[in-house]
Amino acid sequence: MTSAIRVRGLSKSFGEVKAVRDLSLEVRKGEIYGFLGRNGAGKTTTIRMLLGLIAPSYGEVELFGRSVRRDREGALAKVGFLVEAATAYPNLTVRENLEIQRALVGSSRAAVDEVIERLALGPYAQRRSSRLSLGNRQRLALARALVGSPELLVLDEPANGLDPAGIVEIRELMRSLASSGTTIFMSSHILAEVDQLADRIGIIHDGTLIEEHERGEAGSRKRLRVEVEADFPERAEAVLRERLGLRKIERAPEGAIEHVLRISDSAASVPEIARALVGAGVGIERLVPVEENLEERFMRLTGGQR
Amino acid sequence: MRFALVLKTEVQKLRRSSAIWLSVVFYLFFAALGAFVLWMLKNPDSARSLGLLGQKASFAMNGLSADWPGLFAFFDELGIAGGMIILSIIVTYLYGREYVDGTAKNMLALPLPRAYFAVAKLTVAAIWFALLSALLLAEGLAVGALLGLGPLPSGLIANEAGKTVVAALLLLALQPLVAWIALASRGYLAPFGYTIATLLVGNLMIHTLWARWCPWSIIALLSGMAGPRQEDVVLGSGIVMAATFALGLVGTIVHQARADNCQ
Repeated sequence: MTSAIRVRGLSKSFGEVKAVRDLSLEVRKGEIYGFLGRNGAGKTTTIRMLLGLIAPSYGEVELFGRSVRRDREGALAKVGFLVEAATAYPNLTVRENLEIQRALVGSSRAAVDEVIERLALGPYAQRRSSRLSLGNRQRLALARALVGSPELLVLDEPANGLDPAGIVEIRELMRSLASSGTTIFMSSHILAEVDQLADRIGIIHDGTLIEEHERGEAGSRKRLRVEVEADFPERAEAVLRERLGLRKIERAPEGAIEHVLRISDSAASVPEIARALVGAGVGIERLVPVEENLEERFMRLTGGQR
Repeated sequence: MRFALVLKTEVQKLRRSSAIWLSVVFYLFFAALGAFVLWMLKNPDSARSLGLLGQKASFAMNGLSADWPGLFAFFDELGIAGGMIILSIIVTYLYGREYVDGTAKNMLALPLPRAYFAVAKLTVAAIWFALLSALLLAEGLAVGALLGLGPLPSGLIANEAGKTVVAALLLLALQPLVAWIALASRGYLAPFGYTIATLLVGNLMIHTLWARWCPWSIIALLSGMAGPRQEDVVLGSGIVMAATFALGLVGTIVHQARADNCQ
Protein backbone atom coordinates (compact mmCIF):
# COMPACT_ATOMS: atom_id res chain seq x y z
CA MET A 1 0.00 0.00 0.00
CA THR A 2 1.31 3.48 -0.84
CA SER A 3 2.07 5.63 2.18
CA ALA A 4 0.62 9.11 2.49
CA ILE A 5 4.05 10.46 3.41
CA ARG A 6 7.38 8.79 2.81
CA VAL A 7 10.53 10.63 3.76
CA ARG A 8 13.98 9.15 3.18
CA GLY A 9 17.32 10.53 4.32
CA LEU A 10 16.02 14.09 4.48
CA SER A 11 18.60 16.71 5.40
CA LYS A 12 18.66 20.47 5.22
CA SER A 13 21.48 22.85 6.00
CA PHE A 14 21.36 26.62 6.13
CA GLY A 15 25.01 27.52 5.80
CA GLU A 16 26.74 25.94 8.77
CA VAL A 17 23.48 25.17 10.55
CA LYS A 18 22.16 21.67 10.02
CA ALA A 19 18.42 22.09 10.58
CA VAL A 20 17.40 18.53 9.68
CA ARG A 21 19.70 15.50 9.59
CA ASP A 22 19.04 12.28 7.73
CA LEU A 23 15.37 12.13 8.69
CA SER A 24 13.32 9.16 7.51
CA LEU A 25 9.71 8.50 8.38
CA GLU A 26 6.59 7.05 6.92
CA VAL A 27 2.98 8.02 7.59
CA ARG A 28 0.32 5.50 6.65
CA LYS A 29 -2.91 6.55 4.96
CA GLY A 30 -5.63 7.46 7.46
CA GLU A 31 -3.15 7.84 10.30
CA ILE A 32 -2.74 10.80 12.66
CA TYR A 33 0.97 11.40 13.11
CA GLY A 34 2.12 13.71 15.89
CA PHE A 35 5.43 15.39 15.17
CA LEU A 36 7.03 16.80 18.30
CA GLY A 37 10.11 18.81 18.99
CA ARG A 38 11.38 21.84 20.81
CA ASN A 39 11.63 25.25 19.18
CA GLY A 40 14.35 25.05 16.56
CA ALA A 41 14.37 21.23 16.55
CA GLY A 42 13.61 21.12 12.82
CA LYS A 43 9.81 20.59 12.81
CA THR A 44 8.86 23.54 10.64
CA THR A 45 11.82 23.01 8.29
CA THR A 46 10.66 19.41 7.83
CA ILE A 47 7.08 20.55 7.21
CA ARG A 48 8.29 23.11 4.67
CA MET A 49 10.22 20.38 2.87
CA LEU A 50 7.11 18.17 2.87
CA LEU A 51 5.25 20.98 1.11
CA GLY A 52 8.04 21.82 -1.32
CA LEU A 53 8.54 25.27 0.20
CA ILE A 54 12.16 24.43 0.91
CA ALA A 55 14.37 22.20 -1.21
CA PRO A 56 16.13 19.49 0.82
CA SER A 57 19.93 19.46 0.78
CA TYR A 58 19.68 15.67 0.57
CA GLY A 59 16.93 13.11 0.62
CA GLU A 60 13.54 12.64 -0.84
CA VAL A 61 9.93 13.38 0.10
CA GLU A 62 7.08 11.46 -1.47
CA LEU A 63 3.40 12.25 -0.93
CA PHE A 64 1.09 9.47 -2.07
CA GLY A 65 4.00 7.95 -3.99
CA ARG A 66 4.83 11.16 -5.89
CA SER A 67 8.11 12.94 -5.42
CA VAL A 68 7.76 16.54 -4.25
CA ARG A 69 11.02 17.42 -6.02
CA ARG A 70 10.18 15.87 -9.39
CA ASP A 71 6.39 16.26 -9.45
CA ARG A 72 5.54 19.03 -6.97
CA GLU A 73 2.10 19.76 -8.37
CA GLY A 74 1.09 16.10 -8.52
CA ALA A 75 2.42 15.44 -5.01
CA LEU A 76 0.59 18.42 -3.49
CA ALA A 77 -2.68 17.88 -5.36
CA LYS A 78 -4.39 16.18 -2.40
CA VAL A 79 -2.75 18.15 0.39
CA GLY A 80 -4.19 20.79 2.71
CA PHE A 81 -1.82 22.62 4.98
CA LEU A 82 -1.30 25.17 7.71
CA VAL A 83 2.29 26.30 8.15
CA GLU A 84 3.28 28.25 11.24
CA ALA A 85 1.29 31.47 11.77
CA ALA A 86 -2.28 31.53 10.48
CA THR A 87 -2.23 34.15 7.75
CA ALA A 88 -4.79 35.46 5.28
CA TYR A 89 -5.28 38.44 2.98
CA PRO A 90 -6.17 41.14 5.53
CA ASN A 91 -8.32 43.23 3.17
CA LEU A 92 -10.54 40.27 2.28
CA THR A 93 -13.36 38.76 4.30
CA VAL A 94 -13.31 35.21 5.63
CA ARG A 95 -15.52 34.08 2.75
CA GLU A 96 -13.43 35.90 0.12
CA ASN A 97 -10.22 34.35 1.44
CA LEU A 98 -11.81 30.92 1.24
CA GLU A 99 -13.24 31.63 -2.23
CA ILE A 100 -9.75 32.36 -3.52
CA GLN A 101 -8.44 29.11 -2.06
CA ARG A 102 -11.42 27.20 -3.45
CA ALA A 103 -10.81 28.57 -6.94
CA LEU A 104 -7.11 27.73 -6.81
CA VAL A 105 -7.59 24.15 -5.62
CA GLY A 106 -10.55 23.56 -7.92
CA SER A 107 -13.21 22.75 -5.33
CA SER A 108 -16.94 23.17 -5.72
CA ARG A 109 -18.65 26.37 -4.53
CA ALA A 110 -20.40 24.39 -1.80
CA ALA A 111 -17.01 23.58 -0.26
CA VAL A 112 -16.70 27.11 1.13
CA ASP A 113 -20.08 26.94 2.93
CA GLU A 114 -19.16 23.52 4.22
CA VAL A 115 -15.87 24.57 5.82
CA ILE A 116 -17.38 27.78 7.19
CA GLU A 117 -19.96 25.65 8.98
CA ARG A 118 -17.47 23.01 10.04
CA LEU A 119 -15.13 25.55 11.62
CA ALA A 120 -18.00 27.58 13.14
CA LEU A 121 -17.00 30.66 11.13
CA GLY A 122 -20.57 31.55 10.10
CA PRO A 123 -20.85 34.70 12.26
CA TYR A 124 -17.54 35.98 10.86
CA ALA A 125 -17.97 35.04 7.19
CA GLN A 126 -18.36 38.67 6.09
CA ARG A 127 -15.71 40.02 8.42
CA ARG A 128 -12.32 41.06 7.10
CA SER A 129 -9.61 38.69 8.23
CA SER A 130 -7.61 41.60 9.70
CA ARG A 131 -10.45 42.08 12.20
CA LEU A 132 -10.54 38.48 13.44
CA SER A 133 -9.29 37.35 16.81
CA LEU A 134 -6.22 35.10 16.88
CA GLY A 135 -8.41 32.06 17.49
CA ASN A 136 -10.74 32.84 14.59
CA ARG A 137 -7.78 33.54 12.32
CA GLN A 138 -6.57 30.06 13.22
CA ARG A 139 -10.00 28.66 12.34
CA LEU A 140 -9.84 30.47 9.01
CA ALA A 141 -6.41 28.96 8.33
CA LEU A 142 -7.77 25.50 9.16
CA ALA A 143 -10.80 26.14 6.95
CA ARG A 144 -8.45 27.13 4.13
CA ALA A 145 -6.55 23.88 4.63
CA LEU A 146 -9.79 21.90 4.42
CA VAL A 147 -11.50 23.67 1.53
CA GLY A 148 -10.06 21.34 -1.10
CA SER A 149 -11.22 18.20 0.78
CA PRO A 150 -7.60 17.05 1.09
CA GLU A 151 -6.56 13.45 1.64
CA LEU A 152 -3.55 14.63 3.61
CA LEU A 153 -3.49 17.48 6.10
CA VAL A 154 -0.13 18.90 7.14
CA LEU A 155 -0.69 21.09 10.17
CA ASP A 156 1.91 23.08 12.04
CA GLU A 157 0.54 23.99 15.47
CA PRO A 158 -3.16 23.67 14.56
CA ALA A 159 -4.36 24.58 18.06
CA ASN A 160 -2.36 27.80 18.19
CA GLY A 161 -4.43 30.65 19.62
CA LEU A 162 -7.51 28.55 20.29
CA ASP A 163 -9.27 28.62 23.64
CA PRO A 164 -9.84 25.31 25.50
CA ALA A 165 -13.26 24.85 23.90
CA GLY A 166 -11.75 25.54 20.50
CA ILE A 167 -9.01 22.99 21.12
CA VAL A 168 -11.62 20.35 21.95
CA GLU A 169 -13.57 21.25 18.78
CA ILE A 170 -10.46 20.94 16.62
CA ARG A 171 -9.58 17.64 18.27
CA GLU A 172 -13.04 16.30 17.44
CA LEU A 173 -12.74 17.68 13.91
CA MET A 174 -9.45 15.86 13.41
CA ARG A 175 -10.84 12.64 14.78
CA SER A 176 -13.77 12.92 12.43
CA LEU A 177 -11.47 13.66 9.48
CA ALA A 178 -9.21 10.75 10.36
CA SER A 179 -12.20 8.41 10.70
CA SER A 180 -13.24 9.38 7.18
CA GLY A 181 -9.79 8.44 5.89
CA THR A 182 -7.89 11.75 5.94
CA THR A 183 -4.25 11.40 6.91
CA ILE A 184 -3.06 14.04 9.36
CA PHE A 185 0.54 15.04 10.00
CA MET A 186 0.62 17.56 12.82
CA SER A 187 3.14 19.28 14.97
CA SER A 188 2.12 20.76 18.28
CA HIS A 189 3.48 22.10 21.50
CA ILE A 190 0.41 20.88 23.37
CA LEU A 191 1.74 17.43 24.19
CA ALA A 192 -1.37 16.26 26.01
CA GLU A 193 -3.34 17.07 22.89
CA VAL A 194 -1.03 15.06 20.65
CA ASP A 195 -1.06 12.22 23.17
CA GLN A 196 -4.84 12.03 22.95
CA LEU A 197 -5.06 12.40 19.22
CA ALA A 198 -2.08 10.85 17.45
CA ASP A 199 -1.90 7.22 16.38
CA ARG A 200 1.85 7.53 16.15
CA ILE A 201 4.29 10.05 17.53
CA GLY A 202 7.70 11.07 16.27
CA ILE A 203 10.07 13.21 18.31
CA ILE A 204 12.67 15.32 16.55
CA HIS A 205 15.59 16.84 18.42
CA ASP A 206 18.46 18.85 16.95
CA GLY A 207 17.25 17.91 13.49
CA THR A 208 17.25 14.15 14.14
CA LEU A 209 14.23 11.93 14.62
CA ILE A 210 15.14 10.41 17.96
CA GLU A 211 12.02 8.36 18.59
CA GLU A 212 8.90 7.08 16.95
CA HIS A 213 6.22 5.13 18.79
CA GLU A 214 2.61 4.06 18.44
CA ARG A 215 0.03 5.34 20.88
CA GLY A 216 -0.17 2.92 23.81
CA GLU A 217 2.72 0.92 22.41
CA ALA A 218 3.85 -1.62 25.06
CA GLY A 219 7.19 -0.73 26.56
CA SER A 220 7.27 2.59 24.85
CA ARG A 221 6.91 4.50 28.06
CA LYS A 222 9.31 4.31 30.90
CA ARG A 223 7.93 3.33 34.28
CA LEU A 224 8.80 6.06 36.69
CA ARG A 225 7.86 4.52 40.03
CA VAL A 226 5.47 2.31 41.94
CA GLU A 227 3.12 4.00 44.37
CA VAL A 228 1.82 2.13 47.39
CA GLU A 229 -0.87 3.42 49.68
CA ALA A 230 -0.79 1.28 52.81
CA ASP A 231 -2.44 1.41 56.25
CA PHE A 232 0.94 1.29 58.07
CA PRO A 233 3.42 3.11 55.84
CA GLU A 234 6.38 2.88 58.24
CA ARG A 235 5.96 -0.87 58.53
CA ALA A 236 5.43 -1.22 54.79
CA GLU A 237 8.65 0.67 54.11
CA ALA A 238 10.58 -1.53 56.50
CA VAL A 239 9.20 -4.70 54.88
CA LEU A 240 10.13 -3.51 51.39
CA ARG A 241 13.64 -2.54 52.47
CA GLU A 242 14.31 -5.74 54.40
CA ARG A 243 12.53 -8.38 52.36
CA LEU A 244 12.96 -7.00 48.83
CA GLY A 245 16.11 -4.95 49.35
CA LEU A 246 14.55 -1.83 47.85
CA ARG A 247 16.43 1.37 48.55
CA LYS A 248 14.75 4.23 46.68
CA ILE A 249 11.65 4.65 48.77
CA GLU A 250 10.11 7.99 49.63
CA ARG A 251 7.47 8.28 52.28
CA ALA A 252 4.87 11.03 52.46
CA PRO A 253 5.84 13.50 55.19
CA GLU A 254 4.45 13.15 58.71
CA GLY A 255 0.87 14.48 58.86
CA ALA A 256 0.14 13.94 55.17
CA ILE A 257 -3.38 12.78 54.39
CA GLU A 258 -2.34 9.99 52.03
CA HIS A 259 -0.02 7.30 53.33
CA VAL A 260 1.81 6.89 50.05
CA LEU A 261 5.17 5.29 49.46
CA ARG A 262 6.91 6.14 46.22
CA ILE A 263 9.30 3.41 45.13
CA SER A 264 11.61 4.35 42.28
CA ASP A 265 13.94 1.31 42.30
CA SER A 266 13.97 -0.05 38.78
CA ALA A 267 13.96 -3.59 40.26
CA ALA A 268 10.65 -3.03 42.07
CA SER A 269 8.09 -5.56 40.81
CA VAL A 270 4.43 -4.93 41.53
CA PRO A 271 3.54 -8.61 42.25
CA GLU A 272 6.57 -9.01 44.56
CA ILE A 273 5.68 -5.85 46.47
CA ALA A 274 2.10 -7.05 46.83
CA ARG A 275 3.17 -10.48 48.06
CA ALA A 276 5.70 -9.07 50.54
CA LEU A 277 3.28 -6.55 52.06
CA VAL A 278 0.35 -8.97 52.31
CA GLY A 279 2.66 -11.61 53.78
CA ALA A 280 3.73 -9.13 56.45
CA GLY A 281 0.12 -8.27 57.27
CA VAL A 282 0.23 -4.75 55.80
CA GLY A 283 -3.11 -3.62 54.35
CA ILE A 284 -2.85 -2.23 50.79
CA GLU A 285 -5.26 0.53 49.74
CA ARG A 286 -3.61 1.13 46.37
CA LEU A 287 -0.67 -0.27 44.43
CA VAL A 288 0.01 1.41 41.08
CA PRO A 289 2.88 1.46 38.61
CA VAL A 290 3.23 5.07 37.40
CA GLU A 291 4.44 5.57 33.82
CA GLU A 292 5.80 8.79 32.47
CA ASN A 293 3.36 10.80 30.42
CA LEU A 294 4.25 12.13 26.99
CA GLU A 295 5.42 15.40 28.45
CA GLU A 296 7.80 13.71 30.87
CA ARG A 297 9.02 11.40 28.15
CA PHE A 298 9.50 14.31 25.77
CA MET A 299 11.47 16.24 28.35
CA ARG A 300 13.65 13.20 29.12
CA LEU A 301 14.41 12.52 25.45
CA THR A 302 15.08 16.11 24.52
CA GLY A 303 17.33 16.85 27.45
CA GLY A 304 15.04 18.27 30.11
CA GLN A 305 14.50 21.93 30.83
CA ARG A 306 16.79 24.50 29.25
CA MET B 1 -7.14 27.94 -18.33
CA ARG B 2 -5.32 27.51 -15.01
CA PHE B 3 -3.36 30.70 -15.67
CA ALA B 4 -6.62 32.58 -16.22
CA LEU B 5 -7.79 31.25 -12.85
CA VAL B 6 -4.63 32.44 -11.12
CA LEU B 7 -4.94 35.82 -12.85
CA LYS B 8 -8.53 36.12 -11.67
CA THR B 9 -7.58 35.38 -8.07
CA GLU B 10 -4.73 37.89 -8.27
CA VAL B 11 -7.31 40.52 -9.22
CA GLN B 12 -9.63 39.34 -6.41
CA LYS B 13 -6.82 39.76 -3.89
CA LEU B 14 -6.97 43.52 -4.55
CA ARG B 15 -10.55 43.88 -3.39
CA ARG B 16 -10.84 46.76 -0.91
CA SER B 17 -7.11 47.35 -1.17
CA SER B 18 -6.21 50.89 -0.20
CA ALA B 19 -3.25 50.74 -2.61
CA ILE B 20 -5.64 51.10 -5.57
CA TRP B 21 -7.22 54.26 -4.16
CA LEU B 22 -3.84 55.68 -3.25
CA SER B 23 -2.63 55.27 -6.83
CA VAL B 24 -5.82 56.98 -8.10
CA VAL B 25 -5.27 59.83 -5.63
CA PHE B 26 -1.71 60.25 -6.97
CA TYR B 27 -3.03 60.46 -10.51
CA LEU B 28 -5.71 62.97 -9.49
CA PHE B 29 -2.94 64.99 -7.91
CA PHE B 30 -1.02 64.86 -11.20
CA ALA B 31 -4.09 66.24 -12.96
CA ALA B 32 -4.49 68.99 -10.38
CA LEU B 33 -0.83 69.88 -10.80
CA GLY B 34 -1.22 69.93 -14.58
CA ALA B 35 -4.33 72.07 -14.32
CA PHE B 36 -2.56 74.50 -12.01
CA VAL B 37 0.45 74.88 -14.31
CA LEU B 38 -1.70 75.28 -17.42
CA TRP B 39 -3.92 77.81 -15.63
CA MET B 40 -0.85 79.91 -14.78
CA LEU B 41 0.41 79.61 -18.31
CA LYS B 42 -2.97 80.77 -19.60
CA ASN B 43 -3.24 83.54 -16.99
CA PRO B 44 0.31 84.92 -16.58
CA ASP B 45 -0.90 88.08 -14.80
CA SER B 46 -2.64 86.10 -12.10
CA ALA B 47 0.42 83.83 -11.90
CA ARG B 48 2.71 86.79 -11.36
CA SER B 49 0.46 88.04 -8.58
CA LEU B 50 1.28 84.77 -6.75
CA GLY B 51 4.85 86.04 -6.33
CA LEU B 52 7.58 83.45 -5.87
CA LEU B 53 5.33 80.55 -6.70
CA GLY B 54 4.48 82.28 -9.94
CA GLN B 55 8.17 82.70 -10.73
CA LYS B 56 8.88 79.02 -10.14
CA ALA B 57 5.88 77.94 -12.14
CA SER B 58 6.87 80.02 -15.11
CA PHE B 59 10.36 78.48 -14.86
CA ALA B 60 8.82 75.02 -14.98
CA MET B 61 6.73 76.03 -17.95
CA ASN B 62 9.69 76.76 -20.16
CA GLY B 63 8.90 75.61 -23.67
CA LEU B 64 5.25 74.90 -22.90
CA SER B 65 2.30 76.63 -24.47
CA ALA B 66 -1.22 77.14 -23.15
CA ASP B 67 -2.85 74.94 -25.77
CA TRP B 68 -3.70 71.26 -26.25
CA PRO B 69 -0.22 70.15 -27.42
CA GLY B 70 1.36 72.07 -24.52
CA LEU B 71 -1.03 70.49 -22.04
CA PHE B 72 -0.35 66.97 -23.26
CA ALA B 73 3.41 67.53 -23.39
CA PHE B 74 3.23 68.43 -19.71
CA PHE B 75 0.96 65.46 -18.92
CA ASP B 76 3.32 63.14 -20.81
CA GLU B 77 6.17 64.19 -18.57
CA LEU B 78 4.00 63.73 -15.48
CA GLY B 79 2.91 60.31 -16.74
CA ILE B 80 6.45 59.10 -17.30
CA ALA B 81 8.19 60.58 -14.25
CA GLY B 82 5.26 59.78 -11.95
CA GLY B 83 4.57 56.49 -13.68
CA MET B 84 8.10 55.29 -13.14
CA ILE B 85 7.61 55.67 -9.39
CA ILE B 86 3.95 54.63 -9.16
CA LEU B 87 4.37 51.52 -11.32
CA SER B 88 7.37 50.42 -9.24
CA ILE B 89 5.30 50.92 -6.09
CA ILE B 90 2.47 48.85 -7.61
CA VAL B 91 4.84 46.01 -8.53
CA THR B 92 6.53 46.18 -5.14
CA TYR B 93 3.15 46.00 -3.45
CA LEU B 94 1.87 43.08 -5.53
CA TYR B 95 4.94 40.92 -4.98
CA GLY B 96 6.01 42.12 -1.55
CA ARG B 97 2.61 41.99 0.15
CA GLU B 98 2.56 38.17 0.05
CA TYR B 99 5.61 38.23 2.33
CA VAL B 100 4.53 41.20 4.43
CA ASP B 101 1.08 39.61 5.02
CA GLY B 102 2.63 36.15 5.48
CA THR B 103 0.56 34.62 2.69
CA ALA B 104 3.44 33.69 0.37
CA LYS B 105 3.74 30.22 1.91
CA ASN B 106 0.02 29.59 1.32
CA MET B 107 0.40 30.57 -2.32
CA LEU B 108 3.64 28.73 -3.04
CA ALA B 109 2.55 25.38 -1.61
CA LEU B 110 -0.46 25.20 -3.93
CA PRO B 111 -0.44 22.52 -6.62
CA LEU B 112 -0.05 25.10 -9.38
CA PRO B 113 3.01 26.25 -11.33
CA ARG B 114 4.62 29.06 -9.36
CA ALA B 115 5.50 30.84 -12.60
CA TYR B 116 1.77 31.46 -13.04
CA PHE B 117 1.72 33.62 -9.91
CA ALA B 118 4.82 35.55 -10.97
CA VAL B 119 3.44 36.29 -14.43
CA ALA B 120 -0.12 36.92 -13.20
CA LYS B 121 1.09 39.59 -10.77
CA LEU B 122 3.00 41.32 -13.56
CA THR B 123 -0.12 41.16 -15.75
CA VAL B 124 -2.19 42.70 -12.94
CA ALA B 125 0.41 45.48 -12.63
CA ALA B 126 0.18 46.08 -16.38
CA ILE B 127 -3.64 46.26 -16.28
CA TRP B 128 -3.56 48.52 -13.23
CA PHE B 129 -1.04 50.85 -14.86
CA ALA B 130 -2.92 50.85 -18.17
CA LEU B 131 -6.05 52.01 -16.31
CA LEU B 132 -4.07 54.73 -14.53
CA SER B 133 -2.57 55.86 -17.84
CA ALA B 134 -6.05 55.99 -19.37
CA LEU B 135 -7.18 57.99 -16.35
CA LEU B 136 -4.36 60.48 -16.90
CA LEU B 137 -5.33 60.83 -20.55
CA ALA B 138 -8.96 61.45 -19.54
CA GLU B 139 -7.81 63.91 -16.89
CA GLY B 140 -5.82 65.77 -19.56
CA LEU B 141 -8.93 66.08 -21.71
CA ALA B 142 -11.00 67.24 -18.72
CA VAL B 143 -8.39 69.83 -17.68
CA GLY B 144 -8.14 71.15 -21.25
CA ALA B 145 -11.91 71.45 -21.47
CA LEU B 146 -12.12 73.15 -18.08
CA LEU B 147 -9.42 75.65 -19.03
CA GLY B 148 -11.19 76.36 -22.32
CA LEU B 149 -8.30 75.39 -24.60
CA GLY B 150 -10.65 75.27 -27.55
CA PRO B 151 -11.32 72.50 -30.05
CA LEU B 152 -9.04 69.48 -30.01
CA PRO B 153 -6.64 69.36 -32.97
CA SER B 154 -7.45 66.37 -35.16
CA GLY B 155 -5.36 63.30 -34.51
CA LEU B 156 -4.10 64.59 -31.15
CA ILE B 157 -5.93 61.99 -29.08
CA ALA B 158 -4.73 59.11 -31.28
CA ASN B 159 -1.20 60.50 -31.12
CA GLU B 160 -1.35 60.87 -27.32
CA ALA B 161 -2.84 57.41 -26.88
CA GLY B 162 -0.01 55.96 -28.98
CA LYS B 163 2.63 57.81 -26.92
CA THR B 164 0.95 56.66 -23.70
CA VAL B 165 1.02 53.02 -24.82
CA VAL B 166 4.70 53.19 -25.83
CA ALA B 167 5.65 54.91 -22.57
CA ALA B 168 3.67 52.36 -20.54
CA LEU B 169 5.35 49.46 -22.35
CA LEU B 170 8.80 50.93 -21.75
CA LEU B 171 8.03 51.49 -18.08
CA LEU B 172 6.68 47.93 -17.81
CA ALA B 173 9.89 46.57 -19.27
CA LEU B 174 11.73 47.85 -16.19
CA GLN B 175 9.37 46.25 -13.69
CA PRO B 176 10.35 42.56 -13.60
CA LEU B 177 13.64 43.58 -11.98
CA VAL B 178 11.65 45.37 -9.27
CA ALA B 179 9.54 42.22 -8.83
CA TRP B 180 12.64 40.05 -8.54
CA ILE B 181 14.09 42.30 -5.84
CA ALA B 182 10.76 42.31 -3.96
CA LEU B 183 10.74 38.49 -4.01
CA ALA B 184 14.38 38.12 -3.08
CA SER B 185 14.14 40.62 -0.23
CA ARG B 186 10.63 39.44 0.79
CA GLY B 187 9.28 42.91 1.41
CA TYR B 188 8.92 46.49 0.33
CA LEU B 189 12.07 48.28 1.43
CA ALA B 190 14.68 46.90 -1.00
CA PRO B 191 12.56 47.43 -4.15
CA PHE B 192 11.74 50.99 -3.00
CA GLY B 193 15.45 51.64 -2.52
CA TYR B 194 16.18 50.10 -5.91
CA THR B 195 13.57 52.33 -7.60
CA ILE B 196 15.05 55.47 -6.09
CA ALA B 197 18.55 54.35 -7.08
CA THR B 198 17.45 53.73 -10.69
CA LEU B 199 15.82 57.18 -10.84
CA LEU B 200 19.10 58.73 -9.74
CA VAL B 201 21.14 56.63 -12.19
CA GLY B 202 18.73 57.46 -15.01
CA ASN B 203 18.95 61.18 -14.22
CA LEU B 204 22.73 61.11 -14.10
CA MET B 205 23.15 59.04 -17.26
CA ILE B 206 20.83 61.29 -19.24
CA HIS B 207 23.59 63.91 -19.30
CA THR B 208 25.96 61.51 -21.04
CA LEU B 209 26.03 59.85 -24.44
CA TRP B 210 25.63 56.51 -22.68
CA ALA B 211 22.02 57.39 -21.94
CA ARG B 212 20.97 55.40 -25.02
CA TRP B 213 22.34 52.24 -23.33
CA CYS B 214 20.90 52.89 -19.90
CA PRO B 215 17.40 51.41 -19.49
CA TRP B 216 16.40 54.08 -16.96
CA SER B 217 17.42 56.91 -19.31
CA ILE B 218 16.06 55.56 -22.58
CA ILE B 219 12.46 56.39 -21.58
CA ALA B 220 13.43 60.00 -20.86
CA LEU B 221 15.18 60.22 -24.24
CA LEU B 222 12.21 58.77 -26.12
CA SER B 223 9.56 60.79 -24.31
CA GLY B 224 11.29 64.11 -24.82
CA MET B 225 11.77 64.61 -21.08
CA ALA B 226 15.46 65.05 -21.81
CA GLY B 227 14.76 67.57 -24.54
CA PRO B 228 14.56 66.87 -28.25
CA ARG B 229 16.95 63.90 -28.17
CA GLN B 230 14.77 61.15 -29.63
CA GLU B 231 17.38 60.61 -32.34
CA ASP B 232 19.87 59.48 -29.62
CA VAL B 233 17.82 56.32 -29.25
CA VAL B 234 19.17 53.56 -31.48
CA LEU B 235 18.16 50.00 -32.23
CA GLY B 236 20.52 48.89 -29.49
CA SER B 237 18.44 50.90 -26.99
CA GLY B 238 15.43 48.74 -27.86
CA ILE B 239 17.54 45.61 -27.38
CA VAL B 240 18.68 46.92 -23.99
CA MET B 241 15.05 47.45 -22.93
CA ALA B 242 14.04 43.99 -24.17
CA ALA B 243 17.02 42.39 -22.41
CA THR B 244 16.20 44.24 -19.17
CA PHE B 245 12.65 42.93 -19.34
CA ALA B 246 13.75 39.37 -20.18
CA LEU B 247 16.40 39.28 -17.46
CA GLY B 248 13.96 40.52 -14.84
CA LEU B 249 11.21 38.16 -15.92
CA VAL B 250 13.43 35.07 -15.98
CA GLY B 251 14.95 36.06 -12.63
CA THR B 252 11.50 36.56 -11.08
CA ILE B 253 10.14 33.27 -12.38
CA VAL B 254 13.20 31.24 -11.45
CA HIS B 255 13.37 32.81 -8.01
CA GLN B 256 9.67 32.17 -7.38
CA ALA B 257 10.02 28.59 -8.55
CA ARG B 258 13.25 27.56 -6.89
CA ALA B 259 14.20 29.73 -3.93
CA ASP B 260 13.68 28.43 -0.42
CA ASN B 261 10.64 30.01 1.16
CA CYS B 262 11.48 30.29 4.83
CA GLN B 263 9.01 33.09 5.43
